[in-house]
Amino acid sequence: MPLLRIESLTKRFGGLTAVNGLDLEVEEGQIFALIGPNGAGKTTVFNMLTGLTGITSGSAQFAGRDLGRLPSHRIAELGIGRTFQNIRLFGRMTVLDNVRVGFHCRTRTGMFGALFGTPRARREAADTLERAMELLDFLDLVPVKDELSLNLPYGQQRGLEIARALATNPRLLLLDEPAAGLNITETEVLMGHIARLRSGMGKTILLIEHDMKLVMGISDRVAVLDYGMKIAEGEPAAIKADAKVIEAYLGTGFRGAYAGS
Amino acid sequence: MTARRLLSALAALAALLLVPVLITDDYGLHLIIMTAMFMMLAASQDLIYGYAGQLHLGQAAFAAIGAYITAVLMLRFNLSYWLVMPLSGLGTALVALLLSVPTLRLRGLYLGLATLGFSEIVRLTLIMWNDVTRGPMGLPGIPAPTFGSFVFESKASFYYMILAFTVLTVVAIQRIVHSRMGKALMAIRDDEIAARAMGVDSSHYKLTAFSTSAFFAGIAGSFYSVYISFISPDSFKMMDSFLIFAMPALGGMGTVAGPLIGALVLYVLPEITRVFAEYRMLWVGGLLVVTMVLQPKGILGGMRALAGRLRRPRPEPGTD
Amino acid sequence: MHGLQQLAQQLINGLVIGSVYSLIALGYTMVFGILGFINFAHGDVYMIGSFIGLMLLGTGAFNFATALVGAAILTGIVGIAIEKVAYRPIRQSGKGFEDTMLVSAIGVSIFLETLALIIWGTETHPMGAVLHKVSYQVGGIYISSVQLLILGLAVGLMVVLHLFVTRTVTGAAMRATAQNMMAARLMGISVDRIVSVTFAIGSVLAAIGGLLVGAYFDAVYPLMGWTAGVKAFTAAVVGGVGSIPGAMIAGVLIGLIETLGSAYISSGFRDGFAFIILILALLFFPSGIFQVRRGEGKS
Repeated sequence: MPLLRIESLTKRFGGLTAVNGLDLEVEEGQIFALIGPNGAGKTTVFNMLTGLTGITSGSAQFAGRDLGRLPSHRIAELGIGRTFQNIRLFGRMTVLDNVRVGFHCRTRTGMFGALFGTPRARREAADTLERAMELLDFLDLVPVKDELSLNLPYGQQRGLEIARALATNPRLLLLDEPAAGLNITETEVLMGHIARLRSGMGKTILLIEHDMKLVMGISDRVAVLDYGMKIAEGEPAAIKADAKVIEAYLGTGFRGAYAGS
Repeated sequence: MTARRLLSALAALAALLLVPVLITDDYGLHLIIMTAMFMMLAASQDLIYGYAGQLHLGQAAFAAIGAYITAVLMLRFNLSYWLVMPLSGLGTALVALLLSVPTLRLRGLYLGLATLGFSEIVRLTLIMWNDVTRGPMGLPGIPAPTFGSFVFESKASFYYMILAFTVLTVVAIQRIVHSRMGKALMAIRDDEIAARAMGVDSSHYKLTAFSTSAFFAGIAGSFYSVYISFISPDSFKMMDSFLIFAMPALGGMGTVAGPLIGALVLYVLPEITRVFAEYRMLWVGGLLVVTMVLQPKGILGGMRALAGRLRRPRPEPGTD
Repeated sequence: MHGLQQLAQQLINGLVIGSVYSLIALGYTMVFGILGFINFAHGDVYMIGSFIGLMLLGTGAFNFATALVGAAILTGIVGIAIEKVAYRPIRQSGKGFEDTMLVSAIGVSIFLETLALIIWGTETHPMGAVLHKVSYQVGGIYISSVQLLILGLAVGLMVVLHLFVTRTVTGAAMRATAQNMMAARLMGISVDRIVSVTFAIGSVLAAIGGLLVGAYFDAVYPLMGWTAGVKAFTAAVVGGVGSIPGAMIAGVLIGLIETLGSAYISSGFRDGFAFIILILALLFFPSGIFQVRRGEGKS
């Protein structure tokens, strides 16, 4: 059974159909890329999967559970984590605290524990701190752990979003344009991180990206969206050569530029 | 807690305990008592706005509810204050919970207006529910709390009571704020949608924050009831809500000392300089604007920025 | 016949008061359209305008028309000054948290209300018989010259505003700035000047509304900004914050509902109707309320 099964997923905003009858399956352990021109509906798909916006028709099933009417925080609990295209960090909180919030749905201390400092509360807090530091270390953010997240340079903010999403311990990680605005070096570092997420942590990754080097370099499978509809799906090499895709998105110059890769 | 911190805390505590010995004049003690009460209110306001980011402009109404619950329970049922006081807090929290449910989908100014509306509803209810509240005439003769044979009558005794209440409130709020719950609240403040995507049930936490904040406000009101011995719908007006709102904003939101400093500046200063009630709000409004323009992090934020700049060596010209 | 006459009468009354709400609502909606910020103190500007008019009339040197103009100009200046002192520095510094301007606006509101209370006290001031009141009768329905004046002036001003916004260069600059401030700036539009103009217009309209209401009800008092402000704000919300035609229509709508409700259901509850509309609008127009930010990027 695929980890994520999307069937005829549709989203209409009034007269505009942002996502039109999308069918998609993501197997556990895959790195699956969603590409397509701007406005193609990719982030809307993410928003539907994470409960940020309602599903007009069709369904999305995660590990057999229907995601349809679930609120965002329940979806996170189920095991879907995400980053945002326009970075949405908790600006006035420190880097460390941003990650600690991610552990929220995996911990239980309530007001009682907070007020009276019960042994369990303290143990949980220490545990959370330790695991948060591990994640920060993974993303090379330990030196800035006490900085306010809004003060971080762009590249580190992107990294922090990933660390925070990882804290929720997701089975499926949705990355929305994680390489946007990153330079070549940073992108290569990112590719390394994503690969390790899959091989080292067993995460399944669904990613939206425009950076073709990243997409082609790391994905197992690629689906192409245009005007809300899937126009192609397959392995990266096949997509690169697909005429429809080239026409809609990559442009005829693409084949030449990436002929060597 | 380091040894130095512990020592300064103990020193502060000792100083606080000695206040009624050093200040024997009734008016002075009254000022200090009222300031402490406002500190409680300011701290509770900071919890809901400074930490949870929910624009709440009706805190005085919650104090009024707490005050009235105390007055009615003590006058009618002759219960012990030590039972009535926590009940007042809980009762106020319950009312806040009910009122905040319909506001869950509101943010910013819209939420602020809703809280203003609700505080008006509370005020009107207190005025019109004659059977219980005696309307505009208020409830006089609220009995003083007793502890065994000890009666809380002197200013000094009330001082120690409010001191205990305020310290407990501040400590409790700080513990909440540094806990998992506190981080959830701040995440909601900074970006509710992202918080939800990270697994935080924002509705649950907003309700909890509102009721907790109201709980402390209710206790403050309860204290006021037995301290002044008289309560009326005018005891806690809308302008008082604005005053309470301004205190953390001026002193520094999301900090321990901020609300306390704000209470000092906005309550004590005008009293000491003999600025009367009406002029006080002029002062409050003006300071709010000045603070937001110059240093939105308030007095405390300004002091920290200054300290930071003094500590860091100036960059060489041409660098940075 | 009597019932229909009553209805027509109330409709007229509703139109009149509604047109004033529209005038005030325009101030809220225009500032929101450009800055994405709701000027909490706008209702108090309306109140100040009314008092300035009252004072001008009190000197005896002004008749109603000149007092109207004088109050409009002076209040316009007040509006510009408030923006420069309390909002612009925050907008320009970029530091501060999400609600910084809102909190500042709350401060302005507190300041203005307290100032008014100190200067003029809590009691209601009559404006006196400044307008020659003639009652006309049309088919059994009474309409006074004051009502005609208010309607005429309000409609006239809204028409002028519409023409200004759609036909002049400044108006085009305003619309451009409202759509995309950054792009407008890059096109050479002085955003600061446009913001000042917007505040000035809103304040002028509010002042005129204030003076008209003061004369109509023969009452000016420091807390009048609060009630009218909430109603006008409701109109701005119902009409869609940022929409000028929306504010115009919704203001009249609220005036009508309030007047009809007051006449047929309960006169004591008059102010409550707008409040109920506001609650309903806030609860059931979620997309209109939540999108206080305008337009995010899409993928």
